Amino acid sequence: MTEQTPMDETVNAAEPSQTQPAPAEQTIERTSYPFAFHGQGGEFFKIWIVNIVLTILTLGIYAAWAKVRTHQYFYGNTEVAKASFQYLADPITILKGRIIAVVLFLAYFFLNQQFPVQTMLVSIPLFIIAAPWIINRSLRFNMRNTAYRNIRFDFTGTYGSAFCNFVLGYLAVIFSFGMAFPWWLRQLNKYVVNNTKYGDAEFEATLDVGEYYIAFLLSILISFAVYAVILIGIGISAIGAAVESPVLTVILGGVTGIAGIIGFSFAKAFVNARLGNLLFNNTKLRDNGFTSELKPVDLTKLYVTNALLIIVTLGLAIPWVMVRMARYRLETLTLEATDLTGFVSEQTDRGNAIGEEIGDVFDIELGL
Amino acid sequence: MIQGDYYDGESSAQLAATMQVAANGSVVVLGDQRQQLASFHLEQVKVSPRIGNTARYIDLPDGSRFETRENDAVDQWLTAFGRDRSNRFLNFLESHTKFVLLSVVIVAAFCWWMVEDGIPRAAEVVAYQLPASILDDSSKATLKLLDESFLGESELPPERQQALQELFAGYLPEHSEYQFRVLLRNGGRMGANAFALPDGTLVFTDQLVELVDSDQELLAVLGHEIGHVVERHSLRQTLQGSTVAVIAVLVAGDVSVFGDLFAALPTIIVSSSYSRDFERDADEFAFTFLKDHELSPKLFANVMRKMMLAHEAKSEGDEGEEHTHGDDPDESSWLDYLSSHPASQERIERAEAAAE
Repeated sequence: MTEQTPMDETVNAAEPSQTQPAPAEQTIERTSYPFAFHGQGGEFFKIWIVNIVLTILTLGIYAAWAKVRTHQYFYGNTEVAKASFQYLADPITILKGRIIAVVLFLAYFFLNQQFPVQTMLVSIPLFIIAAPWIINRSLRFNMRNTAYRNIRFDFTGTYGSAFCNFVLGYLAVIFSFGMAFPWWLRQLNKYVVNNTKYGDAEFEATLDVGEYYIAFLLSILISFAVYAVILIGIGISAIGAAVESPVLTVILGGVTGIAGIIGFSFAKAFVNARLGNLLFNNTKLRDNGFTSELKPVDLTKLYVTNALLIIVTLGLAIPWVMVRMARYRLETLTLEATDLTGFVSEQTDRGNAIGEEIGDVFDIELGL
Repeated sequence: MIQGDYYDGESSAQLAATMQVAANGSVVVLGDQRQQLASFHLEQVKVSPRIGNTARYIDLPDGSRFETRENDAVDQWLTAFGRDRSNRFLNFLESHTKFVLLSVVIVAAFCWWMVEDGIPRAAEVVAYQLPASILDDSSKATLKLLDESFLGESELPPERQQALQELFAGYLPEHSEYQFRVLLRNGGRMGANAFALPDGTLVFTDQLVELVDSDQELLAVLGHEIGHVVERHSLRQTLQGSTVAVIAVLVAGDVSVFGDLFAALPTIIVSSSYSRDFERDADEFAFTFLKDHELSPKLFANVMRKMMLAHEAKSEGDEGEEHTHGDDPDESSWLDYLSSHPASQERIERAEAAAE
C-alpha cells in the first residue's frame, strides 16, 4: 500500500516538456518522466558489509554473487515511468569468467617471471588484439543482462570499430600528446551509445566534438586559477613563518590546502557535469530523449563531502557515498518520452561474462 | 492480492495488474479489467531475490514478467510455500543489526589480520621462493643512482680503507646466493649512514666511520645491514607494498574522484609500518650476529646514540633556530607513524636489553 508513493510522484510529476527545442516540424507530444533512485545508504550498507564478509569467508568465490546483488540493488532502485531496471546476470557465469581471468593473469605473472622478454613480446600484441573483443563482450554482457519493462538491452558493436575507437584512438591520443583526448572521449561515448539497443530500437547520440574541447579547456583554466590561488596561499603562509608564529603558518597553510582540494574538485565536477549533460541531452531512442541537469557546484559538494566521509569513517561510509552519487545522478535526469510502449523484444541469448570479467581483472575502464 | 505491473516480454507495454496466489499454489495474474493475463502453478514461476526494498520480479514460464514493490506480501507467500530459502537467509543476515555489526567486526578484524600478518607472511614465503638474483639489476641501478646523486668517492686515507676492508672481511658471511662486499663512500648530505642493497653490497659512509669510537661499533652496523640482505627485506617490502597498493586501488578505485588519494594514503602508512618492522628485525639480527662473534649488543646502542646526536646536530645546522622551540628528541609525534624507522630511543633500549 505505502509503496505507491514513489510511483505516484513520478506519475504526478509527468507534464508536457518545453525544455527540448524539438527540431523543425516535429510536434509530437512529449511527456517528462523524472528518474528516481530509492536506495538508502543504511540499507545498502547492510548488503555491502554482508557481501564483503561472505566474500572473505568463501575466499573470494562469493564475490560474483556480491557483484550481482550490488547491481541488482542499484538497478532495482532506479525507477522511471513507473518501472524499474533489472540486472539479470547469472553469478555462475560471472564466476566462470573470473576463474578464466585469474588463470590468465597468473599465467602471465609466472611467465613474466621466467621469461620476461618473450612474455612481453607475445603478451603485448596479444593484449592489443584481444582488447577490442574483450571490451565488446563486456559491454554486450552488461547490456543483455539489463532489462526494463521485461525488454532487454543489447550491444552490437563490431570488432573492427572497437579496434578503431579504442586502439587507434588511444594511439592518436599518445601521438598528439593528449591533445586528441577530448576527441577520443567523444568517439568512445559515441561508440558505446550508438551501438546500444533497447529491444529493437537503437540509441543515437549526436555529439559535437567542439563541446568536448570547450569543457576540457574551461576545466583546465579553472585548474590554473586554483594553482594560482594555492601559490598565493603559500606566499601568505610564509608570513606566518616570517613572524615566527607556527599557529598562523598552520592555519594559513590549512586554509590554502582546503581551498586547493575544493578548487580541484570543482574543476573535475565542472567537466563531469558538462559532459554528462551533453551526452544525455543529445541521446535519442527513437523519438524519446533525455534531459540531464547536473550542476558543477552540487557535484563539487558531493565530491568533497564524500571524500571527508570516507576518510573520517575509514571507508565504512563507502555505501553511503555510492548511494549519494547514484541518487544525484538519477534525480537530475529526466526521460522525455513520446512512446514507451512500442519497443519490441529481439534476442534471447544473454552473452557470457568472460569478456567482462577479463576486462575487470585487467582493469579496463569504461565509464559512461 | 499483490498489486503491480505486467509485461508480456514481447513489447514494452505496461499493464497495471494484480497477482493472486491460491492455497493450492496456482498463480493468476489479472489485468485492470479483471481479464486473466497469465495462469501458472507456483512451481513454474521464478521469483527474484529480495534485495533491500527494490522491486520484485516474478518471471512466468511464457516469458512474461510481473513487477511489484510489495516485498512483504511476496515474502509471505514464499514463506507459506517454503520457497527460496537461500535468498531469505541473505536477507535475514542483511536485515538484522547484530549480524551487520558482527560483519563489521569480522571485516575490520580481517583487514587488520591481513595487514599485520597475512600479507607479510605470504610475502615472506614468496620472497624465499624467488631467486635471490631477481633484484641484482635493481641493486646495480640503485647504487649507480646513489653514486650519481648523493655519494662521492671515499676521502678516507687508503691505508685506513684497507684496514677496514680487512676487518670486515673477517665478519662477512660466506653465502651462496649473495656476494657480500663493503663499499666506502663519502656520504655528502646523507651524513653518517649505512645501507644494504639486496645483492649483498653494503655501503658505509666516511662520516659514519669517523663518528664511531671503535671499529667494533661498525660491526654492529654491519650485522644490521647483513640482516636486511639475508632476510630479503627489500624484496619483501616490495611485495608487501605492492599487494597493499593493489588492494587499496581495487577498493578505492571506483568510489570517488579521490580514488588515487584514498589508495595512496593507506599504502604509504602501511608500507612505512612494514619498513619499521624490517628495521626491528634487522636490529634483532644484528644483536644475534654480535653475540655469535662474542661481541656485545651494547655496541649497537653506542653507535645508535652517536648517530642520533649527529643527525640532530645536522638538522639544527640545516634549519637554523627553528628547532629551539622545544623539539625534545624523546617526544614522539604523530608523524612517527609515517617514519620508516622506529624511534632511535626505542632501538637503543632494545640493544641494551639484548646485551644483558
